[in-house]
Amino acid sequence: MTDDPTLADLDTLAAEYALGALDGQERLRAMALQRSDPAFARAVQEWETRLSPLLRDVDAVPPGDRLWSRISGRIEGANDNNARAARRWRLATFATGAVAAALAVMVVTQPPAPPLPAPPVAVTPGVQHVAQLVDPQGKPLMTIGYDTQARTMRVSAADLTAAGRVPELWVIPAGGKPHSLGALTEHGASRIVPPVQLDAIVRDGATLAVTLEPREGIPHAAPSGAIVASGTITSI
Amino acid sequence: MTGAFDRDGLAADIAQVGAGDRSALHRVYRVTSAKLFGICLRIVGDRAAAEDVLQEVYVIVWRNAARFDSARASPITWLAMIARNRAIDWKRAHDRHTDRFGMMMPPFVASDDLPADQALAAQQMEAAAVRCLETLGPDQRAAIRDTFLDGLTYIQLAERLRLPLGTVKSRIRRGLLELKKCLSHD
Repeated sequence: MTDDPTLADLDTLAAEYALGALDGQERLRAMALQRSDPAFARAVQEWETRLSPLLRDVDAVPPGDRLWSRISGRIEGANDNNARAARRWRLATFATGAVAAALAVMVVTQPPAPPLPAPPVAVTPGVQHVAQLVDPQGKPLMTIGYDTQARTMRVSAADLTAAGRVPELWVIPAGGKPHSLGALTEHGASRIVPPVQLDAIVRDGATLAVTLEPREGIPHAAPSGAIVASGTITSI
Repeated sequence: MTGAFDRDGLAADIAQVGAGDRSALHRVYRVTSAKLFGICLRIVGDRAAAEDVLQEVYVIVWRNAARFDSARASPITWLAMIARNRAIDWKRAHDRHTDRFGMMMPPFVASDDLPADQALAAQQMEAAAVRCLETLGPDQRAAIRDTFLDGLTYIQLAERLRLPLGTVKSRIRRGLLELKKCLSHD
């Protein structure tokens, strides 16, 4: 234990978060710290390890017989290109509702946008909102300008690659859950047209975040990878 | 969280899953699904919803298996914490008067930064935690256990115990502090 009261408080917060006792603003604060502060994330993980033996006390209960085939259906044909397009539709429809998914899939399956100039995109006439996305260490990674008239996001180029994964952009309303805005170009700039039904969410104060995700199934119902960049939308 | 599970066999299967082997995921499922379903069901409280959560859990395992490191945690603990955290996310998103930020955080974010010496410490800590949890007072242990296993918030625990919120908070915080002390002396 340290004598620094701030550190002690943060460790208590990490413990309470790992325990699951927090809700509301405290839970949000812990989640934000977990993605912005590696030391805090490590403290949460250590507390999970300390508490995990409690899980031995939970009785095993067999799930329904059909569950494996549902899971198998979600991951089927990971190496099968023929099934990929069909599965993308099916997965997305299953996950997010037919209309929303169909619109979102149209966005990501459009031909790639031509390369855009590098930042600063914020000064382009007509852009009314901007978000500076930083990595978990706070280093600026990319700029996103959003013109609400043209309903177009311009995402500056950033090198975001991982084996077999592609960058996926998310919008997260304050206190809400993430919604996929589709895949970003891996090396160049990207142009994203948010689905109409997300208009009410893509606004000042919302968070834009990027995770690295499997190509299959984009737009996903929820992120599975760690956040590699995030920032808040503000008016300019 | 070791118990009846074959640690090495399970770790090997998860490594295979990380390489894209679906039959390995099926083996992991056969061995662990009842345990993980028990964890989800206890927190979520509804079979159909718990099966939805469990489905997500194995899809996450399929995607993230390559990030599992057996030096950091036992495989069943890694799986159990994914199940438990995903169930908590579901529960918080469905609780009234709480945030809907659930499903945001992936399990074990930033764990890639864990240095090797700390990875070893994590493995030892897991074994020591079993013993230290037993040394807590019965009230503290029960409060921590119920909060963790039933997915309760402070407020929900206070309602269940019919105690003031402050009393419940300090009981749990004292327990957590003792747990950490016990482990640091180990």
